[in-house]
Amino acid sequence: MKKNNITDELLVKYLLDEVSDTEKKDVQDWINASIENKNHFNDLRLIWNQSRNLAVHTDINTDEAWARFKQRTQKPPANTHSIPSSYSFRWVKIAAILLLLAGGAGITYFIAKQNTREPVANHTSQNTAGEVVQRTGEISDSSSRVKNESTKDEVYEDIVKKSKRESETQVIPQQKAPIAGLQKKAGRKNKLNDLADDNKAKEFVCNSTPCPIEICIVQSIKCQNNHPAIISTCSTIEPDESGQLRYKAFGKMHKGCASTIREITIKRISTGETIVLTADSKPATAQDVFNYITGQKKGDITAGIFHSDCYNRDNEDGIIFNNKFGDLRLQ
Amino acid sequence: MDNETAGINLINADSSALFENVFKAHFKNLHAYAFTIVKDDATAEEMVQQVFYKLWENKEQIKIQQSITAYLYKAVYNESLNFLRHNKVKATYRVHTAYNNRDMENVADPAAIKELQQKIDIALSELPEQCRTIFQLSRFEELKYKNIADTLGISVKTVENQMGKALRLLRSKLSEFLPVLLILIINAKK
Repeated sequence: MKKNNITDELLVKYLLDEVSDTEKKDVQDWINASIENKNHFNDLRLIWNQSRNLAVHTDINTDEAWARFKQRTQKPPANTHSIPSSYSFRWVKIAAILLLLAGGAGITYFIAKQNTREPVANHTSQNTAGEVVQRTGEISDSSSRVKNESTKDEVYEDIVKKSKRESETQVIPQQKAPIAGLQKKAGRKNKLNDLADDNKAKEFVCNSTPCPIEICIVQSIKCQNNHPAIISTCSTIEPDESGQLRYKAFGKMHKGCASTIREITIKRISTGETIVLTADSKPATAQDVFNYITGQKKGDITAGIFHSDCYNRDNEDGIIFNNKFGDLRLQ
Repeated sequence: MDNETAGINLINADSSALFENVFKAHFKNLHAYAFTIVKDDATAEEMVQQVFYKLWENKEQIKIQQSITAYLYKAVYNESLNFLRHNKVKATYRVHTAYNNRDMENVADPAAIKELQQKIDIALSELPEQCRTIFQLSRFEELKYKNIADTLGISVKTVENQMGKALRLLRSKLSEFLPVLLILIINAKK
């Protein structure tokens, strides 16, 4: 392609309008000299034009990123509370990707520390695809930690909720066995694809939580023709001026991929209290809870074992999802 | 460029205001750059955050000989590649890529265009670091050769050469694919 001193460098210069008038003329003459030359130039032009569409269209906010950076620099490394993972993630948006992966609708994530709200007991049951597990039992509040005498006598009831919205959103069938939460259902993939174009920002709001929490989600991502990858992501969410924990979620969807949630850990950083949900959690699995977070499942739920630093398992508390508010509460 | 000198001074002077300026001036572009490698918004931010964090932590030790922009791009590139290696997702990340389809609606065969874009994307991810950074600045930040040269502290001639190299490499990687596509696109435009 170096005929008459026309190099790819010069062609690219021409393409980018960086050439002098003489060079411009030379290139044009060269292009018109033969069909071969023309094709060569057209190749470069096609690549150049099409590559433009690879530009990242992101609404990432620099000021928010700076705030996260400052937060990171102010934290002594020993106190980051990161759950060891193959790579350290300490910020919030990663969770949003997970939420999007799971195909969440608009999400309100609500975590309250004080004032336990009694879970609504004894819901009526109907038959449908979705299964919601409800732990009945009154929970009394004592200072910052909840003492729950009735934990041992917990009665689990499978309650099933059905709403019109739910039937539209293609609820993944759940079996009673906790492990069912980890099973991938065929419908999920379609769901993901449907949502693939939805890059809208989603907000994740946690109200009236006086201290930051850390949420870690371990998921297994399986993409077409590839082995599943286990990805652990941890995010620290801190209250803003108004005391709310909030972040904007946005991200690129991964087409043709399906994710399975294996574990969710929620830690209140000031006290170290932690909820760990896994495939074996009762009454709800990590996947169950995740489905609530993303809005795929609607209904009331009390789930999770919340144990404190001092390993006092008598203080077992839980997470509550409330259908009415679409909230998740930490107790 | 003001940021260039500011960048170097801030490392020595431990001035958080200047650091903030550099962060804010480069964050978006670096994020976009990291995204082309890691294919994920969140991970891309993490890469950039890590680079700045390391810079912050080691600000007393790090002496930046080159331009701060060149340093940052290089660091983000390395961070991102390390990430991919570390997580062994190199094989999988390509299928994750989300594409912006809006500009392709008028084309005869959107699937073929999409395939081309995927191939360009992959080919792009295989370019050497400097080549890739210059391509990024030219294509996505739409800087002129002169600006790129100033930003990275290199000569305009180097930019020219690297851009030529980038397109040449892309073309050779896409060689099997191009003839078919060109016909499609030319027809679509008629």
